[in-house]
Amino acid sequence: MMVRAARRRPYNRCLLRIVAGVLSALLCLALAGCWDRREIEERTSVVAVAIDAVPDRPDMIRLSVQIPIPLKIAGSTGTGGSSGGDSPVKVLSSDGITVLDAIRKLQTQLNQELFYGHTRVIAIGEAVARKGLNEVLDPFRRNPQIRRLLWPIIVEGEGRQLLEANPGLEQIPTVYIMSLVENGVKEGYIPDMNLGNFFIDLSSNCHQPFMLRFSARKEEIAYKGIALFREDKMIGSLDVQETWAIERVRYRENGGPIIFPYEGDSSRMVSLSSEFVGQSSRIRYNNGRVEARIHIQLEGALLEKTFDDMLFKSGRITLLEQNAADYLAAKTRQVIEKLQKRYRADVIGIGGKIRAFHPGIWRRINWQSEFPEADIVVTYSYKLRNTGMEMD
Amino acid sequence: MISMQEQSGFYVLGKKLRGRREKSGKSKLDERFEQRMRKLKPEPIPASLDSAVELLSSGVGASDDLIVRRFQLGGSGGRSAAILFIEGLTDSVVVEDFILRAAMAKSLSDTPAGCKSGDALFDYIRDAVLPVNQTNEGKDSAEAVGLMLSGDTAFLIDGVQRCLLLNTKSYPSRPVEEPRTESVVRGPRDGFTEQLRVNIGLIRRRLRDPNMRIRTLTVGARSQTSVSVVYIDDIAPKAIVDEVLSRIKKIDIDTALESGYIEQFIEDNHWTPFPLIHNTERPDKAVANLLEGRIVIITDGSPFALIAPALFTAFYQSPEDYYERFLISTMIRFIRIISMVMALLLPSLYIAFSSFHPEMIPSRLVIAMAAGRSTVPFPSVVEAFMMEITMEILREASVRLPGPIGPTIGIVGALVVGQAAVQAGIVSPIMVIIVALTTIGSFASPSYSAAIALRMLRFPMMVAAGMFGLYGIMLLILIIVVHLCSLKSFGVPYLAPLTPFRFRDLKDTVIRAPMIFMRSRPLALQPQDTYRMKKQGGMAKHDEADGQSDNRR
Amino acid sequence: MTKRTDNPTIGDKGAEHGQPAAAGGKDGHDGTERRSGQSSANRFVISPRQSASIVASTIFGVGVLTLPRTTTEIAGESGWLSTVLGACLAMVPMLFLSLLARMFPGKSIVRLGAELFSPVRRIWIGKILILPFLSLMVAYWTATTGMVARIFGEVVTAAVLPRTPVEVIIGTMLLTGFILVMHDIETVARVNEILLPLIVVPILLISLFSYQSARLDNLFPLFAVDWMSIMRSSLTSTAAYLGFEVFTLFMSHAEPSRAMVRANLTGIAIPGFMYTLIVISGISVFGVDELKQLVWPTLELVKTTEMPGLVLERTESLFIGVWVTAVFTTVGTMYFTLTMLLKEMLGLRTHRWIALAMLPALYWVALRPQNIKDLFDWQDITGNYGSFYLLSMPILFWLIAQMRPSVRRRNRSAAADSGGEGGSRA
Repeated sequence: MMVRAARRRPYNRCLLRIVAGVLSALLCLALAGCWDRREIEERTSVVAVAIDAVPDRPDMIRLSVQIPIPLKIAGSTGTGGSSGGDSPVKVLSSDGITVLDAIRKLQTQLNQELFYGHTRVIAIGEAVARKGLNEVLDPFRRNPQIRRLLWPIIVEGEGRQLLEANPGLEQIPTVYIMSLVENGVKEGYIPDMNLGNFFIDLSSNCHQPFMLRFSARKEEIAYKGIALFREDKMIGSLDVQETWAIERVRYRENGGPIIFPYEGDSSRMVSLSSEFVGQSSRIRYNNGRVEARIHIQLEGALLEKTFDDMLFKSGRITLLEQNAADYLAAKTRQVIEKLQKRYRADVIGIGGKIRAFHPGIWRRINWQSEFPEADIVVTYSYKLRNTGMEMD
Repeated sequence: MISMQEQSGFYVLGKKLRGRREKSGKSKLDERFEQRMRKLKPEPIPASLDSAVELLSSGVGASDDLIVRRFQLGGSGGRSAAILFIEGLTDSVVVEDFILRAAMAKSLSDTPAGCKSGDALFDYIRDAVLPVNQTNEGKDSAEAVGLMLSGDTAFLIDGVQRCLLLNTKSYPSRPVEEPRTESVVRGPRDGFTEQLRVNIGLIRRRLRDPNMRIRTLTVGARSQTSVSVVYIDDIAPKAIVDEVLSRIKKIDIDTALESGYIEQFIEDNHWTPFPLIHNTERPDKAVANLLEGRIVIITDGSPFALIAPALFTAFYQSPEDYYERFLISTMIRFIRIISMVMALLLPSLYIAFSSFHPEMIPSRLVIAMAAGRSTVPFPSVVEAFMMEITMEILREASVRLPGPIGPTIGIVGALVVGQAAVQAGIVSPIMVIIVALTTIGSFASPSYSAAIALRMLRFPMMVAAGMFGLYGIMLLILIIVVHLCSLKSFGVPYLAPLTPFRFRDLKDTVIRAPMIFMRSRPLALQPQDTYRMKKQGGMAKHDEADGQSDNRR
Repeated sequence: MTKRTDNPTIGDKGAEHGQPAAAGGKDGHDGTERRSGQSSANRFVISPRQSASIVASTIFGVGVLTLPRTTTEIAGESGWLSTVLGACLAMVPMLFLSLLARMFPGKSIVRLGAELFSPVRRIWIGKILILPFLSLMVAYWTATTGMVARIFGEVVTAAVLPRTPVEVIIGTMLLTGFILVMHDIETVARVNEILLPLIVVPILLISLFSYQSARLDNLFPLFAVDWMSIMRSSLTSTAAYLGFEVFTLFMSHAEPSRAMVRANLTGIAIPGFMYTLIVISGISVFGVDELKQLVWPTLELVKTTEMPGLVLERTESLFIGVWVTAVFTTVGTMYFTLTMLLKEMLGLRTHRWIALAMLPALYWVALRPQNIKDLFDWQDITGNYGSFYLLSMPILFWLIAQMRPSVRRRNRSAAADSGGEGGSRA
């Protein structure tokens, strides 16, 4: 047996095995450091960050973080649960010249290191956004802990308000915001503008970026549409209904329900659900002007009406559909006008279409300056599929 | 072609030399084997009864369990004779009824005239007097003593220089029982026992193939243990059979108490946690493996038969897989694989996730875990080590604990210790779940020795996770894969048929294909007879079934 | 056959027992030994499948992390086209290498080159003449192995283990590679064969899942740039396919059959397909403008994908974990071929001492670049020279082989014994 073993493992191999063994043993000893091992409870998870301007110091920013307190979260331990009405989260703030400067100061108040792996919301105060976000967002781009799928949010007033508001429906308010946005995105009435997409729009030269906009009061957090940007500076906003035009034109999403006066009569309101079916677009370059014709097909069901007329007749249905289409087209025209004239920012995605499908035109023009002059017409057609559970 | 050989390496000469040494050594193998096995000095049997008895009993050092019974052939006045046997190895009924009674019977005085003395008498007694099923003749004292020690009875006649050895073997044994380690829900309930003959009988009963061969060798200079190598002559590859035989012959040890001794001597690589030879207590599994072209090695005194060559895939295969229908067995195999992966990786993944990559855990769970761990004073590596080692202790203890209270104590211990540890804040509740899952997972493997390999590898895995998180786990997995790839069992790559890849063998790896597709034996083993079904897809069976259903209609 | 050839002892036994193995000639073929693709009693032969796996998994390495950026930098939206063309371009030398392997069965580049460059009876002349070629390869493999390990270290430290020194990551990776190198060619072939699916499947999954956040608009216009740029970027993306050249040493154990040639080309097609998928999903998720700003676009791609079922919230650590496998096969196999090449050049008995000696050398090379910019420059340089050299060398050798029928004839008569049959069983 020994003869055999020796033959199967030549002498030098034996020796080398020993060498390898010693080497790896040495390595193991040297590695006892475990540089990156930081236990879960040794990290202070930040679920939301807020960035605000400091009122008197234009050169400084105020950084706030929302930290859940594990022991106060119900269900985390058998005996836990929020005791004595204490908030299960803590909001800390600190001022600094840069974001990292503020974080550094924040860290001095904390026993454990801040950990951004679970950050879901970056709330940005309007004042900071109007000054420009490039410097502020730079560390978030570099830090590998930061997700690309978190929600950057412009808050009316101060970002910190969003962190401090607590609607009370979820233990951690950030989770509430997160699920609010996520559900809206899933249904198609909130644009999917996460941090990654914001960065993409920011670096692309055919769109202007936008962010979701929220308002926050003590116990109320509400989605308020989007904040428009030119480059990295906030220039204005659109309300919830207006964003639906962008949802439909650019993202081919459903948008929200269509509520409009039947035959222009504001006492006779009709609500229709809207489901995106298809879109066709034609873009031409005529007389130094981009001409875009976009047609969008929607369908849906009758959700409500405030009058007794029997609508479910063939003639009436056509009229209803036509009404809805006209209403949407008018709304969209207003939005486009606002974007072209007031903000001169293309968030509706025409630039992207030109770049992708009409590279000939794209090369000839400078879209930034061309957009306000472009002739953009969006038309709709609507198909009513059913009337819900009512017969008429 | 010669030139090719030369180009392949600069050291052909060395190879050739080694090869030559190998060949010449092989021819001497049997010789050396014989030498080792024969310890007594062989001496011829003397004519005088007294000195013959003296010679044989001195062979066992006049041990007290040697019974010498002198008597006279055919009753009083006959030629004196003696039987010698070892008490406890022989069946006293046989000795009394069929040896002593026959030899002392009066009728012996009717011995034909030509057979009154010497060799003729000896032959007469052997051929016409003793109704014993198997007789041998000991040519010299060494052989006679050897056979006596295996339970034969030596029969000596005064004045005859020969020794008759009569088969009276009867060892203390237990009956055929259900195997303890590999229980199945569906399948035969009989298991191997400690008796070599019984075990071979159990196999023979299932396999009436005249091509089944049994080669019995003796291992252990002192214990003289019989080791039977069982294979099917026209399926098992000759090269592997020869390799097995020659490796067993090379074993140089005084005692082989269990098949584990044999296993550890003949395995290809001693420095591996993975079993390169499988074992089984189940005759049905042994037969199935014989039919796949493997070789079964049965050791006297051990209910565990060895199966060689072993493949990695057998880690999660159970004989039951073939008794249940294929969808069910495939699903069960998946579950086994998952549970084995869990047994290997779960604690280390816990360490990696909780102390290196908490961003991967869902946010809500992270907060709960942080709360659970907030009282735990140790890093998660230490926590996991503590709990896993406790669990191993419990498991080991419950094996040793006497009889029926064993499992109870195990469960109580686990529950009480776990609960108390959580309440004391030494471990987090999640850790308890992890440990429980790991332990259960490692029991799901049908092969005990495979499960034990994974149990062992779990600990280095935890160390790796504690150093580098997922990266460490991955590195260790890679090292294990490299190691597995380098392993061979009797020349068959351990990971076959995954690598070297054989599509046709995949039918019995992760999935268990329907029986009709299991047409060929595992090709990785290079069986001589490739097909187990003579017709394509077992169609013969199918036609028959169709025909019957037609008739019924 | 596997068992017999894998274990020389058994192989010998087989012969003794009147099995056909090694009965005809020293390297004679065994009729029953087909499956495993091994041609002689004591010589391991790499099956076509293993050969394809070696090529594919060696190619797969660090390139996949940066490829979306590097291709789009020149070719814009047509970046994916350049990976396709790059694969086609890389197939040319691979084809010639495989043809050479068929022409010279059982010979690696060392012996083959020596024969090509020398008169019939004086092989030493060829051995000297081939030396510059081989030294270039040694230098190239040393540099590439070091660079791959370094890039790996940079990614790991940047993305998942920020505090662990990069030296430690490089060291552990090289050490794991060293463990592989300590084994023989058989093990290396099998390791590559079994690990290839573990590399391909996750990358496939990532590119599939990333389509949830893809915007197909980003892929248009299909031909954003002129053909010159596409060609230029194809040339650069060929560097991502370097790694196929390890076959220059594995060819001595390759099965000299048509199946082997086909398998080797498949070995390039697999990474070609995966690369294209990754580049397409990179472009469609990020768009060209954003891609240019990402250091590790594929890693960011993983960040933008959510795993269905949400068992794990973020998959980039998981991806890095799986990607370790891809880097390991690259580092390990290149390290192995490097030591084999040196072994054959120096005429040593075993490659293991060289492996040990090369370990600190590779570590040293890996630590040369000062920073990530430096590293990328180094990578560009080795990639450019490497692709120029490795694209041209097989073709050159093949042409010489065509011009020297006498050398071919001698090898063909040898191949007729084994290779001919090898071809027929394909």
